[in-house]
Amino acid sequence: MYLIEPRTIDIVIKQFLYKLKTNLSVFYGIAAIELFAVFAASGGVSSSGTSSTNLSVKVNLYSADIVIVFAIIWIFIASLRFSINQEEMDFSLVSNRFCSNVSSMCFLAVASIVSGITASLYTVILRIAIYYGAGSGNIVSDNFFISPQYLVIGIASSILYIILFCSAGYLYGVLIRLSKLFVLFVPACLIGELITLRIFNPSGHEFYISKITNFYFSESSLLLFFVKAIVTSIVLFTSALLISDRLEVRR
Amino acid sequence: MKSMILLLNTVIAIVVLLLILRVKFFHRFCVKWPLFIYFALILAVIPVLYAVPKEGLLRTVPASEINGLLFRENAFENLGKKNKPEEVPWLHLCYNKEIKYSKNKIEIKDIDSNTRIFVKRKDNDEIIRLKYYIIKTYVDNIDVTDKIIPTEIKLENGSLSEKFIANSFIELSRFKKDFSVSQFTGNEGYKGLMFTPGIGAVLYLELPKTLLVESKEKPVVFVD
Repeated sequence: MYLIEPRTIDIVIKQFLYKLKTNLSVFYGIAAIELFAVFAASGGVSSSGTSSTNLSVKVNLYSADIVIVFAIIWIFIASLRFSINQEEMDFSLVSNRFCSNVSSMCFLAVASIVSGITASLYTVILRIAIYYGAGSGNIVSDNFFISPQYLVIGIASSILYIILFCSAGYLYGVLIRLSKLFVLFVPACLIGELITLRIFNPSGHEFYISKITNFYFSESSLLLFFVKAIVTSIVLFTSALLISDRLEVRR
Repeated sequence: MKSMILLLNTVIAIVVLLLILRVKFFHRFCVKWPLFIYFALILAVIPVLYAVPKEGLLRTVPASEINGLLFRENAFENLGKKNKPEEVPWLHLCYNKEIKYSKNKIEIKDIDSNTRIFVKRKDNDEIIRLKYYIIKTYVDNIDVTDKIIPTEIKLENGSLSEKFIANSFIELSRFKKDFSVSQFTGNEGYKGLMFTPGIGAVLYLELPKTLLVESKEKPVVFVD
């Protein structure tokens, strides 16, 4: 019996806003990693050349793929750290596991959206930097201008990829909290699978990793990809929530 | 420029490491306003891209037009008959000179083996009109001929000769769609460099009727 009955949603919102204020370094990390990646991409992802009498030709190919990949890696690390350090934060707040997890997930979802938008827009920044840096006279018009439709597709799919990896990182962090053995177990499984794939797979039979990557990376319909990514993220976050609820108060 | 980028990237890498390690000293500087400025700047670049003038960029030429170059051997013969090199689509005019020349004989020598010489007769006005064309060169279906440094045609002491100036170096920049876009819009991946060099040139001379032409090394085609 309380004078003011606390509502779960209010607590989640309060905690989310608190985490947003106290974890600005995650956003700084996004900005830093994206700048790092765009500088790396400014040299071109590949180049090819040829020559004939008195004439040499070099073609540099540019892409901002690396920025999106780095954003994915960063958000995976951030969600992993966030999940592992959850315990410490929980004791400074009046809360329960459910509220804490949901507010963390909301925070990570916001971070994923922000990093998805910014990482996708770096493709525009790269084009402008090359245009003014290398000179317009050497730039091929194909794929230089990005239609607004393609820009939206790029932003949407980047956000979905980042949320997907964010949820995987969060679950991995919860598993590590459950048992330290998972620190080695998950990478060992992934590396073991890759080694098996290389050495013991002369027939070219698809293993789990390639099946999983094909499931997402080979999907050509944005709508289906949206469903796949969101459903997977919900499953991973819910699993993290359920496992986290079963954890002891403090180890 | 590259060393500058390397330096900047090293600094950024250290910052990322500090963020991962959660160094308290560094976290003290993590305030809101620089982040807002950063995100606002990123959003502001979108209109900049659409404001970039399209005219300055290199455009691809249809493959059928480039394939026409394969028949240029026959086209050279037609050039002698048709008498209008400026109308030949696979030739690029490098320069068009008018030289005052009062002697009664001209010797053509030291001309590159890939250069063809055409002579057209005109009135006796003591002026030589010299046009130098090179065959168009394409890289990835892009006409890059205007980026090639042509050889120089010199008229000295009654001799017309070709002089090499410098090697040409062409560097092109092209962009590919990000994987997050190409996955859903079809992958028109880069299939590698396509190089169609235009080997050869045309030296088109308009000479006074009475001027004697001597060319011991290369044949001269008299048009008309």
